[in-house]
Amino acid sequence: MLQPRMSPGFLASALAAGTAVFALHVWLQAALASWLVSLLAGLCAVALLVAGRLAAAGGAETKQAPEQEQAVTPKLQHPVIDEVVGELRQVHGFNQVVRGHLQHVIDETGRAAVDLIGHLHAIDAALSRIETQLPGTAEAEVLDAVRDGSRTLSAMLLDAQAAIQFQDPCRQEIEQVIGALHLLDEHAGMLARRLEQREDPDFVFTPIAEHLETLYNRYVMESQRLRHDATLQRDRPAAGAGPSNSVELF
Amino acid sequence: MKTIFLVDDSATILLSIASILTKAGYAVEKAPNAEEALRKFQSGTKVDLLITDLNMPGMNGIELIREVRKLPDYKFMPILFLTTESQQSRKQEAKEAGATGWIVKPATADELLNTIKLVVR
Repeated sequence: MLQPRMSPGFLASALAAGTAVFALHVWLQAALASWLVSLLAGLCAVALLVAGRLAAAGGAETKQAPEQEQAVTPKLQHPVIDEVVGELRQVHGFNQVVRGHLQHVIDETGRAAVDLIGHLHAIDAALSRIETQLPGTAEAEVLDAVRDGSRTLSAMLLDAQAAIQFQDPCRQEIEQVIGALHLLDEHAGMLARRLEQREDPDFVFTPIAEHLETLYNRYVMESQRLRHDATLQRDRPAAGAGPSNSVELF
Repeated sequence: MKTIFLVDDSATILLSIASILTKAGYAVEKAPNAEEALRKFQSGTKVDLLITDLNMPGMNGIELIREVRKLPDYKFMPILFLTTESQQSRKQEAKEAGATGWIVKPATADELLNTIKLVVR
């Protein structure tokens, strides 16, 4: 007798869940690639915005006569800088929301993958029971067909269980994006402070290139390094990239 | 029955790989981090093969196998890395630390089981 969980409906829903998770995987890979590009483009946009506003403010200032400078500068410079500082501060709130969403994706896909493994395990166990519960009076041909089908399905389930490993690279990709957003947050905050404390000669400024290098050093996959290099259009050969064999014995 | 020790900070990896190995007839021990794995090795648990992730919070896989190789019982135990990393310099580092092989995630069930058959005797 089949277990209730092995009904056609259950099988269909388990397979549908698997298909949905794989579709999510494909979507995530594409989304993450474009996300990183957008992130870097966003960083450049912020830098350009700040540079543009400051240049405009600086240009306006230089047009004033020196004797007028003290009176005019606060009117021209402060609203512009305040606006830029305000925009940079907004990055923090937006950033926190996005990081929260991404962490949620990691948690949910992790739970979904664990559930899926449980379902596959249940199907496999039910398949094993089918062979032992076949009536002894069944035709030999029927018995062979059921055993063959059961073995084929069992092998497919094994492959499906192995395929669930994709969740781990996905998790690591998203964690990198969260880390990058954190750096962006820090950088935006630092830019805002830099603008507010523009008269302070001792202000320590971390250049964006340093943040990007930090990001690069945190990568755990060759694909991340290659994507980073391609996004920055730099022709640095990936450090010691080896052959693409998935298995290597030393 | 041969015993395989799995170390990975991902619950998904631990579950999916353990499921495949159990189905293939291996006994499986698991640890979610290198520190816990090392404690089990220090207590003398019987293991025929260690499969470890590379990048984990705290002690990483290479640091783990350096420590494991110092223990007399595990000097010749095969050790495989199962990791998303494929950088040649990291592989070289793992080899020098005493690893037997390297498998890039995600690996198929066949790749995994065939490699295990080659290193576990």
